[in-house]
Amino acid sequence: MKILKKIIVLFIIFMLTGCFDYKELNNLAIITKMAIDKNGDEFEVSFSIENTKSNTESNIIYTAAGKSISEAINNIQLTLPKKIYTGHLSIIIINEELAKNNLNQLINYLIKSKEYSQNFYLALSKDKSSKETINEISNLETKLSKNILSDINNEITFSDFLKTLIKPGIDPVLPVITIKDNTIDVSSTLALFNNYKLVAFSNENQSKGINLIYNKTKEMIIPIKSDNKNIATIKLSNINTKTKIKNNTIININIKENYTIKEINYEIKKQTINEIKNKTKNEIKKLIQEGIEISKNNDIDIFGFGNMIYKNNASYFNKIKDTWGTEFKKINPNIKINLITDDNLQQTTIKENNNS
Amino acid sequence: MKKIKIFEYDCMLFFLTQGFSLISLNIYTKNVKTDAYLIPIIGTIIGIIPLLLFTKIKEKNSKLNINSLNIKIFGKIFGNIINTIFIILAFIIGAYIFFILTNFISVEYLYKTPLNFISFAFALPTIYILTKNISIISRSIVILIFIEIILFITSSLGLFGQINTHELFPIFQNNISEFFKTVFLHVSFILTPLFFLNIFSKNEIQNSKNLKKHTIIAYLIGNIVFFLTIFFNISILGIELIEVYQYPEYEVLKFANIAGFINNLEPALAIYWMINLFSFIVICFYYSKKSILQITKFKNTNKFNIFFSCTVLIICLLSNNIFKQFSITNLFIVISFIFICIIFFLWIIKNSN
Amino acid sequence: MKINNQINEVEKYIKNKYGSSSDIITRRIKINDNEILYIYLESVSSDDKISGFLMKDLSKYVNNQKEIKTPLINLLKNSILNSHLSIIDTYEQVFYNLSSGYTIIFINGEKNAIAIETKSILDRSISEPSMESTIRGPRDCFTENNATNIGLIRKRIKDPNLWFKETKIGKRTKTKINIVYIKNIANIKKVKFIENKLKKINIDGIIDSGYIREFLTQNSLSAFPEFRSTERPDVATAELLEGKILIMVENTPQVLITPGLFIDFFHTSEDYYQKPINITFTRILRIIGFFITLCTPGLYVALTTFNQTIIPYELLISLSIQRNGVPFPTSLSIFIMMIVFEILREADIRLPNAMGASISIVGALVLGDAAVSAGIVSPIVIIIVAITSIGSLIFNDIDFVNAIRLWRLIFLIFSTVLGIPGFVIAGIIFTINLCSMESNGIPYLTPISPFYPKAQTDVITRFSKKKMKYRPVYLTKNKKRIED
Repeated sequence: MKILKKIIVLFIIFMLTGCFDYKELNNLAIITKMAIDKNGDEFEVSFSIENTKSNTESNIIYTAAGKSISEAINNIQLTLPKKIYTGHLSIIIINEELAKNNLNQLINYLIKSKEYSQNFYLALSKDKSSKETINEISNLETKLSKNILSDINNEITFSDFLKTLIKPGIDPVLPVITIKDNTIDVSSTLALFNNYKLVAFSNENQSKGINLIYNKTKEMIIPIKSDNKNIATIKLSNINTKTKIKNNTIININIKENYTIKEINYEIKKQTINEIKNKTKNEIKKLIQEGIEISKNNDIDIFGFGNMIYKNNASYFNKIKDTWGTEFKKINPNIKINLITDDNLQQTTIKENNNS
Repeated sequence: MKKIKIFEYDCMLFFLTQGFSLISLNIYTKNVKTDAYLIPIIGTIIGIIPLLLFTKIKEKNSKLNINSLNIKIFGKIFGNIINTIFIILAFIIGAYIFFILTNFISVEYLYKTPLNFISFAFALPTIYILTKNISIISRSIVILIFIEIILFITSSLGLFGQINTHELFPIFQNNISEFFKTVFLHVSFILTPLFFLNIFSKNEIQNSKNLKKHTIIAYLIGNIVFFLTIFFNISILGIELIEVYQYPEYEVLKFANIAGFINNLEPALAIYWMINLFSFIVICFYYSKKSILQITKFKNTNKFNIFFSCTVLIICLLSNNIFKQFSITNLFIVISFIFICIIFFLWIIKNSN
Repeated sequence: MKINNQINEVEKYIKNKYGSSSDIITRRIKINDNEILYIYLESVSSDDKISGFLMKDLSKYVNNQKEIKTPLINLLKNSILNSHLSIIDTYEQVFYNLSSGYTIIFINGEKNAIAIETKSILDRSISEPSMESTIRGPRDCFTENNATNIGLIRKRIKDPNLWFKETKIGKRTKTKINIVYIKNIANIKKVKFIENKLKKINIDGIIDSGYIREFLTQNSLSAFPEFRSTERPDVATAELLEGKILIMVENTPQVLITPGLFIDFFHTSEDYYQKPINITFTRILRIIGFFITLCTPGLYVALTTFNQTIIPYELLISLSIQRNGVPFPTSLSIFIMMIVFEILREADIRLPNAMGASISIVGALVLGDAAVSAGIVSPIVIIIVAITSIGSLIFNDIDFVNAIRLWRLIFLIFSTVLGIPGFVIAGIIFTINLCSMESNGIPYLTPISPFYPKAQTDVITRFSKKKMKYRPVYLTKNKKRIED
C-alpha cells in the first residue's frame, strides 16, 4: 500500500513537467473585436488587441490574409509575440461579400472551435470593409476611452443568430454598423438574410418597424406633422409587442405603449389631442407595415411567423415549408395599437404674447 | 459488519438515477424532438413498478445481498455465473461513464491535454476512495451531495429567468412508437444502475424500517433533477441548437444569470456534473469489488487492495481507447435491463414457491 | 525494595541514590530512646510547613519525660496534624514522594515510614490566557499545577458525578495523568478505551500533553488534529457537560479534549455567551474564512491560467498589465510568497515581545512592497497571500492551522497542473481524507457526514438555549440536558 502511494506521488511529480493547457496571463493577446472580410478569393481577418503596455493607445489592430479563415488567423499568430486569446471577444464584424457567399463557412468555423466561448455579437459593415470599421471604432474608443460597444442595445448574439438560421420558418437579421459623427449607430439599418445569403438592407423607417415587431425598442420618438409648421413630438416608452397566432393563418400583433407629448410648437386643444393620438397610431402602423413589406418583397420571413405556425401545428407547416417564402406574402397581420397616456399631461402651454 | 445509514443509501440512490443524464439529452432529442421533456415524467411513473418489486424482494430476504440471493435461487454454479455477468456489467458501465467524464472535461475544459493524462488524474481519487471501506465511501458521498445540491440550485435559479416557453412546442407531432421506445430506453437508463444498490442487504442498513418510503422519495428527487436538466436545455436552447453542440448541458449554463452578476460562471457551475459522474463511477466499482470479495472469498487485505487498484487504473486508462471505437449503444443498456428484469422475475417466481 | 529499618543505612542509601545533591536535607531527632530521621528536598518543599507542622508536633514528644508504651509510629501517625499523611514501605514510593516535595520520617527499627505533604508551590499563579483570549467570559486559565487545575474544574461543576481517574505514566517522570468525565453523561466504553491505551504507553518521560496525543491517535497519517486542546476551564467545563472526556497532564496548562471533531474547531467558548443570531452569522463567517484560506491560491491559479473566461474583462486587463515583466509563473510566485509569510509567522511566535511588532510590520509591508517594486511578484499575488494568511488567523488551534497549510499546498499543486478539474480532484481527495478520520471512534465529520438532523442546533446555526434541550446523540446516550 505504501509502495503504491509512493509510485503515485512520483507519477504526479513527473506529470508536472508539462502542463498543456497552461497559459500565463501576460502571454495572451486579449482580443476584443474581430473583423472578417472577404475580398475576392481571400479572407482577411483583423484583430483589435488590447494594449497592456503603453498608455497612449488602448487598441492595436493586426491584419492578415489567407485562403481560409483559420489560415488568416494563423498568419496573424505568426506575427504576434503573444498567443491569441478570444475568450473575451465581444463582437465580430463581417462585410457584405462574406455575408453573401461564405456565411456557412464562417458559422461552421465558429461552432467547431472551442476557443470562442463567450457569447459575442455579430454585425455587418456596409459599403466599407470591416477592417475600416474596426479602425474607426478603435479611434473612437481611444478618444472617449471606454468600451463603446456596451452602450448599443440592438445587438444580436451569436446564439440568437444561430437559432434564427437553424429554425424552420424564420430568417436571420443582422444589424449594420455605421459610424456617423463620433457615434456608433447600430439600429438604423438592418441586413436581411435568406437562409445563408444576404439579400437586402432596410432603411430607417423599415428598421424602426422591424425593431418594433421584435420588441427590441423600448423608447421611440416620433414627430407628427399636422401642417407644415406644426410639429408635435411624441415620445413612446415602455413599448411592449406581442405577436400571437390563431388558426394557422391569422397573426395578431398587439403593441402597448406609454404615450406622452414631449414637445409641441402650437396650442393644444381638446380635439387636437385625439387627433394627435390617431395620427400617432397611423404612423406606427405605417412603420410596421413598411417593415413587413420589405420582408415580403424579398421572399423571406424575418419575424418568425412561420416558426409560430410550426409550433402550433407542425404537420401543417411541414407541408408548406418549402414554399413558405411565397406563402408568407399572403399573410396580413392584424395590428392593434394600445396607447396609454400619462394622466398628468400638462395641458396648458405658455402662450406667446402676440401683443407688442 | 459495518452498517450504512439510510440517509447515505438514499444519497447513493440519488446519484445512481442520474448517472446517464449527461448523454441522454442528445439521444432523446434525436428520437422524439420536443417531446424529450415529457419522457422523464412518464418514464418515472412507469419505473416505479419495478422499483417496488425490487424493494419487496429485498425486504423478504433481509440478510442476503444480490450474490447470495443468486446462489440461493439458482444453485451454486449457475448463480456464480450470473454473479460474474453482473460484475462484468458493472465494470463496463463504470468504465463507460468514466470515459464520458474524461471526454466531457477534455472537450470543455482542457482541450489540448491528452486524454490519458486526464484519465490518470481522475483515476487517482477513484483508486483512493476504493481502498477504504464502505462507511467512508458513503460519508464522502453525503458531502459530495451537499456540494452538488448547492451548485444545482444556483444554476437552476439562474436559468429559470431565461426560459422561453414557446421553445417547448410542438409536442406529440411524431409517431407514438418512437415515443414509447424512448420511454423504455429512459426506464432502462434509470433502473439498471439502481440494481447495483442490491449489494447492500437490508440488514446492512441502519434504521431500515422505512426502506420503501426512502427508496421512492430518493428515486423521485433524482428523477426530478433529471427532468429539470432536460427541461432547461430544451426551453432555453431549443432543439435545433442542441443538435449542434456535443455537450449542450454545458452550453446552457452560459445563460445562467442571477441579478446580472452571476454570469460567465459556467466552468464553476459545471462542477456538479463532475461530481455526479464521479460518484456514479465509485458506486459501480465498489459493487464489483465487493462482489469479487464475496465470490472468491478473499479477505480484504492490502494485497487485494493493490491488485484491485491496478485493475481499476488499467480499466480507466484503457477506457478512452476502447469506447472511442465501439461506442456503447443504447441497445446494450436496454439488453442489460431486460436481462436484469428476467432474473428478477425468476427470483419472484422461485421465491413464492 | 523495602525500606531498611536501620536509619543509618537508609540515610546512606538515599544520599547515594541522589548523588549527594545539594538539596537533600536530613535531620535526626531523639525521642525517648528512639531516633527518628527525616529527610526532605529543600528545592521542592516549603520550610514553613515543615517548621510549622513537624517541629511543633514533634516538640511535644521530645521534651516528654514519661514512658511511652505505644509504638512510636502510631503515636506520630495520630499526632502530626498535617492534612496529608501516609505510610509507605518501599524505596520507590520514598523517591517519588521526596521528589514531589514530601517529607519522609524514618523511625529506627520500623519498617514503615511516614510521608507528610509539605509541598511548596513552584508554579505561576492563575493568570489570563495568552493564546485563547476572548472578549466576554471568564479570564482564568489552567496552570502547571495539577491540584490547581483540578480545583478550577471542581469549583465549576459541583456534581459528585464528576470523576477524576489518575494514572502515572513515564518511567522517569512519573507524570500524573487524569481522565476527567461526568459519570452518567460520558460514554464509559470510551473512557475504558482511553485507559487501556494509556496503560500500554511505554516511554521514559511525558513532558507535555502533546506526547499523550501522539500515543492515543488513531490516524497517524492525517494532518488534522483529532484532539482539541484548551487552556481555559470554562471551555473544559462546557465540553464535560456535553459528554466529552478530558485528559489532564501534570505540568502542562493545555488540557486535551476527546473526541475533537472537525466542527469543534470552528466554535469558541464565546459562542454561548453572545446572542444566538449574531453567532450564526459569525459562524458562517468562520466557514467562509476557512474556505478562503484553503482554496484561494489554488482557485486563483486555476482561474488566471486555465479558465480566464470567468474573470470580468476589466479585471483581466489590469491583471495582465500587472504581470508584465514578472519572471516566474504564477504558481511559483504564490509558492514563494507563501513560504515567506509562513517564515514570518513562525518568526513572530519566537520573537520576544519587544521586537515582535516591528519585525512583522517590516516583513509584511516592506517585503511585500519591495518584492513588487523589484519585479519579483505581481501585486495581486501579495493580496492573495495576505488574504489567505488573514483567513487562517480565525482558528485557535495551531495544529489545525498547520494542517490547512499542508492542504492549501496540495490544492495549489493540483490546480497548477489541471486547472478547475484539478481543483475538483483535490477537493474530492480532501473530502475523502477527512471522512476517513475518526476521533475516538466517532467519525470526524459528524454531524455533517453521518447526518444527524437533531444535532444541527449547534453546528452552524445556534439556536437559543431554550431550544437546545438535547445533547448530541453521537456523544452520549443521556440525551436530556435536564432530567425530569
